[in-house]
Parts: sequence; structure tokens; C-alpha cells
Amino acid sequence: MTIINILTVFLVLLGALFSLIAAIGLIRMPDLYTRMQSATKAGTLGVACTAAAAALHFKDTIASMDAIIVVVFFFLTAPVASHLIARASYTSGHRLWSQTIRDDYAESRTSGPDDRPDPEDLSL
Amino acid sequence: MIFASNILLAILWSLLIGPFTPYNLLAGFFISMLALAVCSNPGRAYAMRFWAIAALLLFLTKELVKANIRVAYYTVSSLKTLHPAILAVPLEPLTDPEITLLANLITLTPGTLTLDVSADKRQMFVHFMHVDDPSEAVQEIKSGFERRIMEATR
Repeated sequence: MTIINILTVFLVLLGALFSLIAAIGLIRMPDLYTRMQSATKAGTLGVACTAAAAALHFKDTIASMDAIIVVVFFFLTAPVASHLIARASYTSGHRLWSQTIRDDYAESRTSGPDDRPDPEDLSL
Repeated sequence: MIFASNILLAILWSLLIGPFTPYNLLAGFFISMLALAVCSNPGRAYAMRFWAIAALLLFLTKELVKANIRVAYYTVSSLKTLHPAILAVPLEPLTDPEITLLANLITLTPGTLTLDVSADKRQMFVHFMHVDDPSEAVQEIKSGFERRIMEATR
């Protein structure tokens, strides 16, 4: 057991732990928005840790580049997807959980001129 | 443009200094950046911006680790004390790419999720997984990501 091995094992276990917590959150969280928070994003560190462990284990430049590219693309795409899912759910009327303490978004949508295109006009 | 000359100088350095390795290239990159910063005004601005971007990346890593641990804690602890909220974060006058970057970084950080940007681009609506004090949560985003993005892009 070298120090690299120990570090690799530690990173894999940490990645698995964060992924497990993401899965638990998916079941436990009360509404769509909080569920999205834990499902799509407690995973970010999980993926990063696992990729870092792979890079450490294989120890060559190609594998390290692959690991870096995986993490970069994950970090680029995950927020776009979760933002779009959350916004689409809000727009289509998904309710917030009863313990939510404030909703500034609802106020801004009811007050002020709505310059968004009418959903009826978007029929394809 | 300055970035291109920085890369060229780095390649030149590693060709002159000996074996062409990634480490020599990296050393050449920083040494030529220093040279550019000493020689010219745009070079100095370029070097400053490079470090601001590096600081932003470092800050992002720190926030990611912190926020992941926080969300992990919310996930396994009692739901009775969990109070999500959608807050309006007032924005400085930012350009479109800056707003995109800010929205992406906020969403990437666990516990916060950008829902929308107001039509006049002066407000951003962010869903927080848990807030103790709304004004403090908003201030944290403004002094954290927003300030650092402005330092890195202008």
C-alpha cells in the first residue's frame, strides 16, 4: 500500500458516499426543487472525486486528461439541465413545499408587465 | 492576443531550456507571463486577469466542497428545520456572458439553483435549499461569486 493507493481508495469511497447521499436525497426530499438540488448536485463532488481517483490510479497523461475532460463537461452541462428542469417545472405550475419561507419569483411574475411570449404562441 | 504570445514564449522557453516536457512548458508559461507583465501595460492587465480567474476557480472548488457537505447534512438530518426559499438577488450591471457564468456557478453549487433572470437583467431568482437569514444568503452570493466574476472578466 503506497500513499497513492490509500488516496485512491479514499477518493473512491468519498465519491461513492456523496453519490449515495444524492440517492437518499432523491427519496427523502419533499418537493421537486429540493429533490433536484440533492439529485443533480450532491453528485458533482461525487463525480469529481471518482474521476480524480481514476486519474491517480492509472497514473498516465491520457487517463488524467480523460478524467479532467469528464469533470469539465459534467460541470458545464449539469447546471444547464437542472436550471431548465426547475424553471420548466415552476412555469408549468409545480408547487413549492409548504415549509418554503419566501417566494420572490411569484411576486415578480404577477406584478409588472410580462414580456415573455404567450405559451399559446409557441405551438410547434 | 497576449495569451497567444504567452503560449509562444512558453514553447520557446521549453525548447531552449532542454527536454520538452509539460513541466518545462508550465514553468515557461509563468516565467513569460512575468516577463510580459514587466514589459507592457496590457501585459500587466493580462497577468492580473489570469490570477483573478485562478482565484475564481479556487473559490469555486472551495464553495463546491463546502456546499456539498452542507447539502449532505440537510439530506440526512431532520426535515422539520429545513426552510427552502426563492430569493431575488439584485445584480450589478453585468454583461450577458457574465450573467450566464454567474447563473451557472450558482446552479453548480449544491443548495442553490438559478430559476430565472428578470427581463431588465437587474435581478436573479435563486432557489435556496435552506436559508436562515434571507439577506445574509443574498449577500453571500453578491460578495462571493458576483464580485469574483467581475474581477475576472473586467
